Amino acid sequence: MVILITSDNVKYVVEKDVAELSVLVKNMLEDIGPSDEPIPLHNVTSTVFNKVLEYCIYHRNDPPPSDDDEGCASPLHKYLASHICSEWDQRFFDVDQALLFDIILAANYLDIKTLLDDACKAVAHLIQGKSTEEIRGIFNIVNDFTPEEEARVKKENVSS
Amino acid sequence: MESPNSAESSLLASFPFSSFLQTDYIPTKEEAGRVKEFLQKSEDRLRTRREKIECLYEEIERMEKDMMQLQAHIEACSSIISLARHIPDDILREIFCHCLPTDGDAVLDVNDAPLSLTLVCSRWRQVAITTPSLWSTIHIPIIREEIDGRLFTRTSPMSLDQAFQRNVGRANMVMEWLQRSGSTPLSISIAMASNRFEFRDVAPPPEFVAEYIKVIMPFATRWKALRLSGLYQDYAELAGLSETDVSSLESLTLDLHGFDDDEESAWRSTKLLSAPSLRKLSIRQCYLDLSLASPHLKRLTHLSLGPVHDYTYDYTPGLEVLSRILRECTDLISCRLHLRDDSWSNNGVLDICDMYLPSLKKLDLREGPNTLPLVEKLEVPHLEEIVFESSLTGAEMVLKTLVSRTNECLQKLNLRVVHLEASVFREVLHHSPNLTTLVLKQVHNRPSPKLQLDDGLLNELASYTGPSLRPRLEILNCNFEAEFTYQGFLDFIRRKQGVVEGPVAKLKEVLIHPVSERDETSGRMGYKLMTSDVKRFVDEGLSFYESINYDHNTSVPHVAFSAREGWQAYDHDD
Repeated sequence: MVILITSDNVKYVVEKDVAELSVLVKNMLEDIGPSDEPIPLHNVTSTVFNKVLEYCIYHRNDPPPSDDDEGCASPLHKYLASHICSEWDQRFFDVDQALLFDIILAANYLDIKTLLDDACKAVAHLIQGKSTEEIRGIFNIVNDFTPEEEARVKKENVSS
Repeated sequence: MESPNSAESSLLASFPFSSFLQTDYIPTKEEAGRVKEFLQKSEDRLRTRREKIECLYEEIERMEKDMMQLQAHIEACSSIISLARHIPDDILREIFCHCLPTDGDAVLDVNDAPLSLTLVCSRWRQVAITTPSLWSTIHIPIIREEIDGRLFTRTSPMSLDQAFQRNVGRANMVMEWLQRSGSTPLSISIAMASNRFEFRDVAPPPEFVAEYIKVIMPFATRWKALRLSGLYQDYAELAGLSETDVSSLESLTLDLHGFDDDEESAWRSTKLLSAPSLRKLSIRQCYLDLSLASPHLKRLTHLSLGPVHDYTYDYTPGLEVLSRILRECTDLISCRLHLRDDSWSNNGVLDICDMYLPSLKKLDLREGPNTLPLVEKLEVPHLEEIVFESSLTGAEMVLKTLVSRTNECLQKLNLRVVHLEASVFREVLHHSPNLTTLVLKQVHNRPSPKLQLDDGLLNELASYTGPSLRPRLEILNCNFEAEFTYQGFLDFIRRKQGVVEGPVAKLKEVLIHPVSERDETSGRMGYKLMTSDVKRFVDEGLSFYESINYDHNTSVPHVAFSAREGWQAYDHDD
């Protein structure tokens, strides 16, 4: 068991194989050697860590991601697989945008590649098929192009 | 509140001549004057109300304007704390890369990534432009905008000159796109919108294609995957590249036709086929002399000859030549041969050589007549997947021979046949003890085969008390109406999914054509969807789809019903 403490001082006792899905934690455990000393997670709050932990527990036995693109699954299966992970993952990432971005930042800090990857896919899913205006609306982004820049950008893309 | 009817009654009651309203009574001059006086009062009231409504509308408009200003103010101020701003650039890059299409190269369209990402704000633009992998794939459709403005442009039809100028503009954009790709390997596809049967009439003029060739040529050493469609002659300049010019090329797809047999043709001696890194080769109309690439064929892991996406037939080498090509391809993992009907004649003795393909895992064969001699000389001891399509009467011999060559390694069988005896189908199943996937499809516009996939056969497939026919079966796809009954198929699923442990595997994915049964009330035949009855198993992880096959009406898209996703379009030909 490994003891982890989040930035808001909540203590978690986590099984080692689950905790080690985080490369950060794994490296820290290797550095300190056998010890009961709690590991502080400075950049993660308990609210976000609850989600991270949920993901790690669910995916603890996953095989490493495969690069094989010649799989022989049915087209329908491939279609569904390409549209964000499993049904469980889809439910997992069906959270408000603030939490989704917090999960990304936590996954990045904790160095959990699959979680970071899946969360990025979830954000990408929000972007795909949306117009520029819609994207700005979703992420609360201001169009900061000067009129000259905007005209230039539009001119660049006028033929597409 | 007073109802409209009662308000109307009270107004009428106050009208001094209401008793004459439904009669032919003609009022006197004096009475007419009183009526006018009465109506004047009503009109005054009406005007007052109109004015009041106007005021209310103005008030609403003012409030709406105010609300929009507040909304804009909130958005402007809250954008400061926008979460998207806190995402580091490297993660934003990661997110951007996931926005690219997963089923092909990125398209040159401002409404799609990566171009759309450059238009959001200056930071996104900067991040997108400095992410080379975002620009490492591109799909370039070449269209003739001058032919039909309604189809291809948002503006009016244009002249050939105007269309050419737009084409040049797009080619410049492609250049800029590719320059953003840094030093990453490139995947490029060029496609022409065309009707291939009248191709020469509607194909873009060669100078249109030449603009793009001029743009992509300087990047040849970084091409990793190249897909060309259109006419051979339009790409003659690419055919003249040397092996070192395309040193990174791993995948080449030539979806070309109109092969020019001229001795001067660059395609006759193209070195593209000898690219040192080439592993995947797909040729639609295979007039090319593959023997030129003979020493390099050994390196190929994927080979596809014949048309890929349609039901037409294109030239493929005869069996003898084909066998000599395949003999060299000893490292092949996947092979797709879509042989045309008259690739070779059945006359005379064929000199077909032995082909030993020890690494071959997947063979996709659409047979032409007399394919048997080729199959008989094939040695594929580790073949795990067969995709077999045939509308010919002798199909079963070819299939049987093929399956017998697999050394019982066969795991996936995908059949699209017209003629296949039920007994041969069973024999094939018996020779495939490790089968996990069985896909049965109907040949386009042809009757479905009578395989006797009935309750009895399903029973054998699911049997766990006695010897099960194919115990490891996990995926079953039958896109035409088979002989099993509703109850028979439901029992099959129940038995498969009821297994706790042992040699019989649970089903992971099922796609069937709904069973038609007579409705007890109306007496009519109709499809009976199984979705609600299998919900329990779907909840436990089974992917279950029912697809109505509209092969008799090609204008209707194929749809599948999933217990999870509902109805959705489904390209079962993929």
